[in-house]
Amino acid sequence: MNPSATLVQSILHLDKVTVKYGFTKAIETVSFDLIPGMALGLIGANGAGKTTSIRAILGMLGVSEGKITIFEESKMTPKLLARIGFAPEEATPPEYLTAKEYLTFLSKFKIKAQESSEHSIESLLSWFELDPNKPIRKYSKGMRRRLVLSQAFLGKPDLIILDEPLNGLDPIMIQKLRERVVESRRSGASILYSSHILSELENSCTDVVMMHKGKVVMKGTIPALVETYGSVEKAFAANVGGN
Amino acid sequence: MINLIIGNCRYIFRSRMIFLILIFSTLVHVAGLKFVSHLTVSIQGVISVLGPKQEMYAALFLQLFTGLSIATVYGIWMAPYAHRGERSILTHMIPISKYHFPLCYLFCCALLLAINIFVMVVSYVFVFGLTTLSSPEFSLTILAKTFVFELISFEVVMLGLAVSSLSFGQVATFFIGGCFLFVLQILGAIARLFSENTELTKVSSKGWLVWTYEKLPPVGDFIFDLKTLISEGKFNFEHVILWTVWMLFFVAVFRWKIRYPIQQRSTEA
Repeated sequence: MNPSATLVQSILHLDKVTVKYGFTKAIETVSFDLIPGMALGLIGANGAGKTTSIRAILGMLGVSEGKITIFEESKMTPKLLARIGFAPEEATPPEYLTAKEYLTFLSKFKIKAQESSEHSIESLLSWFELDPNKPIRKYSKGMRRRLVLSQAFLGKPDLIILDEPLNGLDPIMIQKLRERVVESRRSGASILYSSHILSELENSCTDVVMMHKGKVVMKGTIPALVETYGSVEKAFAANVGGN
Repeated sequence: MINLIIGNCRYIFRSRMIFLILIFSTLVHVAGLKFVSHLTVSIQGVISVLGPKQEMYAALFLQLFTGLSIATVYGIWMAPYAHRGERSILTHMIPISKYHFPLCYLFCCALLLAINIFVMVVSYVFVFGLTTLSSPEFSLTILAKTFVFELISFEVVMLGLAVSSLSFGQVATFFIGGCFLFVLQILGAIARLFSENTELTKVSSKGWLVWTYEKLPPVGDFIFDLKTLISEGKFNFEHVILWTVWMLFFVAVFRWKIRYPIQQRSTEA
């Protein structure tokens, strides 16, 4: 983990967080920090607890033990949600709307100025190559995925959380998303990026947290991991297992 | 809140709910009132047609059926739409207080019920003529009071069904809701029987049964309350308060249900 995390005020701070599904612990004593401008990759195999961690951060699950602090607040409020952009792994926007209508609807809650809202929507639709006036019900799976991703960047949020964003994307869109993530980070946003694709995280993120069976097994900066292990993939194999 | 209401109205419009209401409600009202217009009453051999007041009773009772249907469809299928399955995660991320959702649904359902009332009045005028509205027997005040009473009751039914739909799924709610309303009707009849029959008031089970019934939404008394309201122009304030308390209760429960995104049941569409 970046040592500066402790010095700079964290945007997101997880302190020994445990989440239970019934009696089963989905994640256990998970701790990490996210500071402004950081792109933190959450790595782990299926069932490692990446999505559960994200859902706990966003107040979608009750936390059994530990504490989550976002923007120095410990309780998720509408004001905080307005500062967060989130693209879930699986989500269906309302099918009766068009992409433009959907983003316009969301922008009314996230963007104050009408002019910048229209500009922002048009630029997002164009970036993600979405037909603005086509009903969402007629969108393909990939187009729906792009729409879900685009709404995460709406209103230039301070914290962007992407859960398995590459699922269903073609190689061109993967490249464009990578550029978008880097651009958002440069403009001051912090990114929490969960993915199975380690090479992609190596390109898009500054830091990584490795999870295995609900626990954090390793965290560090990408350059440090590459220096020690040769690549993120090798670091993952050394700490979690696999070839 | 206004943006949420506009968004929900767009959903109502795009889902064609509005057209279904207009068509269904117009058919039921026009056909029902046409039937009523041909009815005659025979009292001691004297045959007479129904007066404007009786015709208005008939229109309001027809309106009960269509209004309840609207509240049921809106409660089971439309209000929970944004809060179920994968969609619920995106809804959860909308930066507004979760209380805005049930309040928005109350407003939109009221709008649909107002359209239903409008259809009823238009159908009434279509069948009986515009002049009947100016008849001294026809009271707009009573019509307005009836609308307010029905509105509160139907909103409770709508939110109750919406909460059940979020908890048990849509198909289960359709049957559970039907059974619940039916049981309340039976309880209402039994409670009335006890209260009107002094012999039966000595039965030991009467106490808890009536006590329980008095705390539940007064579905069994709905028709009687409406009858009193139409004929005497008086609200049963005790029941209006009870309906209102249940409405507030369901608003709170709905808010509680959507505190976390709700995963879709595999059997639900």
